[in-house]
Amino acid sequence: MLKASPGPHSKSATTVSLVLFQVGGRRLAVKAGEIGGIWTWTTPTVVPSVTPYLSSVLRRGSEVLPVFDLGARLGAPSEGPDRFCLIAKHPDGPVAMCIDGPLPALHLIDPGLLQAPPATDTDIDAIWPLHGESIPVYALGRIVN
Amino acid sequence: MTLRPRGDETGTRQLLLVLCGGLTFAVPADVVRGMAGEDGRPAAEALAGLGVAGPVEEFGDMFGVRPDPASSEPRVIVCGTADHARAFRVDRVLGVEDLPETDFRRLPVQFTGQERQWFGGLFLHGDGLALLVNPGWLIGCEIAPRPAAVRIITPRPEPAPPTPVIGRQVVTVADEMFGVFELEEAHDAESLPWAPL
Repeated sequence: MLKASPGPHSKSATTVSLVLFQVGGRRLAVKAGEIGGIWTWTTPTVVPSVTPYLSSVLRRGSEVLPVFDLGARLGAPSEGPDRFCLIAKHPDGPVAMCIDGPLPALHLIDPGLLQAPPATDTDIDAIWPLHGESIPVYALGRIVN
Repeated sequence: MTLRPRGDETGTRQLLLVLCGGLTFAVPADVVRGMAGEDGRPAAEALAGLGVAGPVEEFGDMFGVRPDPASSEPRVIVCGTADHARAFRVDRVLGVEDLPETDFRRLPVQFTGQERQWFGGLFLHGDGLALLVNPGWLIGCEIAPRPAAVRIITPRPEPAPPTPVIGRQVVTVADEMFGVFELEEAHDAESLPWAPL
């Protein structure tokens, strides 16, 4: 039995889902499939550590997640009073990251709009031109590693 | 204070909980020999009686955590064996607790540095978390040198003149006990535990 193809007008075949958010005042995006959730940010517990950008854990109920300092990694510390916690999917388990207050937004875009990433940052999958701004699309799994 | 050895039969672990720099640390009871002094300044005789031969160390220095200068209840805990014990000053002793083994969880695998040697794991404690200190590491290690400091081995009354080497500063020192050795500035300060704090 053959299954009908989605067709040229099917959004699922011609769009990529990106989540746009902000860290340290800088806008960036990640693929929606790399995100495991978005919570209200709460104060993490410091863990003395020498692992780069990992120096705390976040408790949510009985769950304990490592906190990756995405702001420090990007050179732009997260700012603002109403911050959020972005949960990144990672092969070794979910990782929490603090992001700025504006609520992240989901965008369905034509993958043909995406441009090649810069050679200088291997954690960027693509560049998304948006209203005259070049939004880096980061690979969250590679950033944490 | 009386502590009993780890109760394997009951599936629980007895821990001494201490506060240092705002963090809660748990030290397995089977390495705690006792507490000395009432205000964090025990007498030398008290320490000697617990097998401590060296000075009182700051517990936070082990992990790059600054002690709370406003702490009003500092205490000195003595950890080790009858042959080798170390004394550590903490901001506060929270008490002794028995916890089931099932309460402990490993440090998330994303932590890949020396912290995996420092901590045997962590557990939920109150509204927060407590870090389980690795007793073997606590008793056996030495405190790492301060960032960007010269590693002082043994001072000599008449040190040899410095021997500069291109690319790094090296001082050759001859010591009557240890012979001739080199001291060099630590360049890996960024990787030392307290650098990010």
